[in-house]
Amino acid sequence: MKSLCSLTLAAVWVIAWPLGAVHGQSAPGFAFPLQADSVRFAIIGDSGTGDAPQYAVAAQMLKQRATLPFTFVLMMGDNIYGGHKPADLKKKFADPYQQLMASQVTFYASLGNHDNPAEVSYQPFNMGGKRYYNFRKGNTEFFALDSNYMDPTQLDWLEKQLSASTAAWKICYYHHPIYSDARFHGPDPDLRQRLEPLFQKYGVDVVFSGHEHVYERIQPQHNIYYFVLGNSGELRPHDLKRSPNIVKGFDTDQCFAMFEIAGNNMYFEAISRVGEIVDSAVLPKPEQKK
Amino acid sequence: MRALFGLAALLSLALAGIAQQRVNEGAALDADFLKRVAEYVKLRKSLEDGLPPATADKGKEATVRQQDLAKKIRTARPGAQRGDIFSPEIAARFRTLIVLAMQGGNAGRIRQSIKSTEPPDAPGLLGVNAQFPDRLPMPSTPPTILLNLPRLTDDVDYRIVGRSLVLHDMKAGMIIDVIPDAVPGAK
Repeated sequence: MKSLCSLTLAAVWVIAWPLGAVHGQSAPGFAFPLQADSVRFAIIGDSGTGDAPQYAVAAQMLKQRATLPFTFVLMMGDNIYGGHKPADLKKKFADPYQQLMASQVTFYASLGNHDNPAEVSYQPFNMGGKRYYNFRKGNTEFFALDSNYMDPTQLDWLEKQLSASTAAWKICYYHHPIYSDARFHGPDPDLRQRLEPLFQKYGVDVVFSGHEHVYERIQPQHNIYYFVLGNSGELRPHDLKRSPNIVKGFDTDQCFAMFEIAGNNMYFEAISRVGEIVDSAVLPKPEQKK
Repeated sequence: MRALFGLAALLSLALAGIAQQRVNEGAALDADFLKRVAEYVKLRKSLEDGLPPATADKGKEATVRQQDLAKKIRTARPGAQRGDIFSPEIAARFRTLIVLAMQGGNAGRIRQSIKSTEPPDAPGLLGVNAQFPDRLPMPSTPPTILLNLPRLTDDVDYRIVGRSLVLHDMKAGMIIDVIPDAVPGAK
């Protein structure tokens, strides 16, 4: 994996602990700025099991809104495992996140390999009947992609939308990671071959994915931040390889992460099912190379 | 010497003619395939008329609607079988296109891509008119292969299952046709 970490790191600190270690608190001095016009959101991945850990993560998300009142949640796919009957949608989504939705938190889903394509019409996922779509919040534009089926039509659409975007921050999210050091699946190199040139050409800043049932913050690749978060319901314990490509990894419990984009900085915390902070940092907007 | 040049020119013209003929044949097969898919989509659209909109009841019934649509399609094409859309000539053309997509350095990348997406190991899945079971992951298709195949629209897609290429209806969640052994085996 090539690592081109030429980001501006002035006035920015990044704390990385050994793989799997949990310290239970943020990096020294870390605090969300809670700026008036900031973009606040959470991410979850591979959540839809309907089992107790998913419900525990959902409860933790609700609790952590006291620290960062995020207003929407990005879903990395595998939103509903197994059956997709109305009772499944209730047990694996509507019930665990009921209180978040009652607090006006909206969800924006992408599709995973365990999802039924019919989920695009499930209204609480806000996909508008589409496999891929984009939306803007403040200074940030989000692009939800369908990595199950990255056909030329979707690639054309993505290029058109990215080239037209005037947002300061551009964030893409989808299921299958193009960088990962998890053992079970590994990264998808063919997807990387097609997506990464577009990300670089049009200045994508951050990429989120799931699929691997762990948390990983990857060393920036070509000035792009990559996160893998696929353990908000499922978990594959001790699946991460020790790797210099990982800034921070966590594979011993479920987790989610919450973000605040304020001006040119992105603040985030990844938080475990039981409320331990497993990663946190302030990341500056990458300097894009054209 | 002049005769040799003349012979070479004739040979060159003949080869160009053969290549052009192959291009024309390929284009004709692609057009035939897309016409067959369009006929299927037309049938599906006519059957969707009697169903509630996908977004009815906040979409909670989306998968129920999918199953109802699949039932109607099965009833409308009870004799559907392998090869209806992927005729032997079209299947041969697709196998060639996939081999071309997997030349050189692409092969390893595409195989790793297929592996990383957790392909289901269930050969019994691949019956025409059958639905993909909810319990199994939906197989994906490497983008480089998709770039080499005729472009599909209207919620019909290609999926790789094992070494087979499946023509899949996303709206009905069912298999329309299959080409076995479409992906070359690893050497």
